Amino acid sequence: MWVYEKRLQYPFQIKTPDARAAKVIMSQYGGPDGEIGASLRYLSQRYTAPSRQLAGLLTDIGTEEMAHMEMVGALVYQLTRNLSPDEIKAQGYDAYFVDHTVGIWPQAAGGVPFNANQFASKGDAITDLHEDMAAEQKARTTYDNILQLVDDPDVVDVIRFLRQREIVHFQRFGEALENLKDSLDRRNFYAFNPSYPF
Amino acid sequence: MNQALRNLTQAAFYADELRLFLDTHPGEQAALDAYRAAARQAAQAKQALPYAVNALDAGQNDEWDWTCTPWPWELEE
Repeated sequence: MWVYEKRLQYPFQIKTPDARAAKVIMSQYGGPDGEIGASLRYLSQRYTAPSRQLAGLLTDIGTEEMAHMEMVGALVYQLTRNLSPDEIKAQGYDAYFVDHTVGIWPQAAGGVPFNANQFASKGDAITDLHEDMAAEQKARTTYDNILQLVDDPDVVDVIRFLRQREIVHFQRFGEALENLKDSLDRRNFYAFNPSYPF
Repeated sequence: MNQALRNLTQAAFYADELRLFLDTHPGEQAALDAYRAAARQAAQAKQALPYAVNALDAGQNDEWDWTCTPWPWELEE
């Protein structure tokens, strides 16, 4: 189970609304490499992890991703506050606005809705850990792309924090993969599924 | 952000970071000591929060203020 604590992992107050920035940042909420997919990926994969250690890492990183989902939702919310219909139109937010007003809904920047096909849970710990490491790098690249597109220092600061977490998670998953391989037969790491040894 | 919330954020983040490190390095005694200290510090910082933001967990105060104090995404007016 989980217990909610009423705070952001990294608190912020974005003073200047900017729907253009919100439109691209929203991709890290429900986009292909976003935080919702990240939390669902790790929290789904953990059941068939072949060790308690790996299940623990997936649980803890999956939990942190839920906190990041909340941060990205809060960013989009704060960036789209108090905008008139004219400002919504001028800032290119009208296509989103017509379906959601300024509510938070999981989609990619291009409007593609969140879909479970955006992540894998293969029931094979080696396959899943490679997926996880790639996912952290894809999210890091997306945050880098966001940093090319936004310039408000308050927003940049939050995006940099989230970007840094992708790097730490990549490192931890890399260590988990090495630890897992240490427990397997050196001659054929990739020939068998350690989560389904039949 | 007020200083009390800053103290909580910093201590809790340090604990979060050490927790992931310990998941892949369970034998690192220094990291475990640091984790326990950070978790303790975060708990103390939470107790020190001013009343207006103290309802981070439900039922902490005499009144049911869980649904009265600000949500984390709200902008300070």
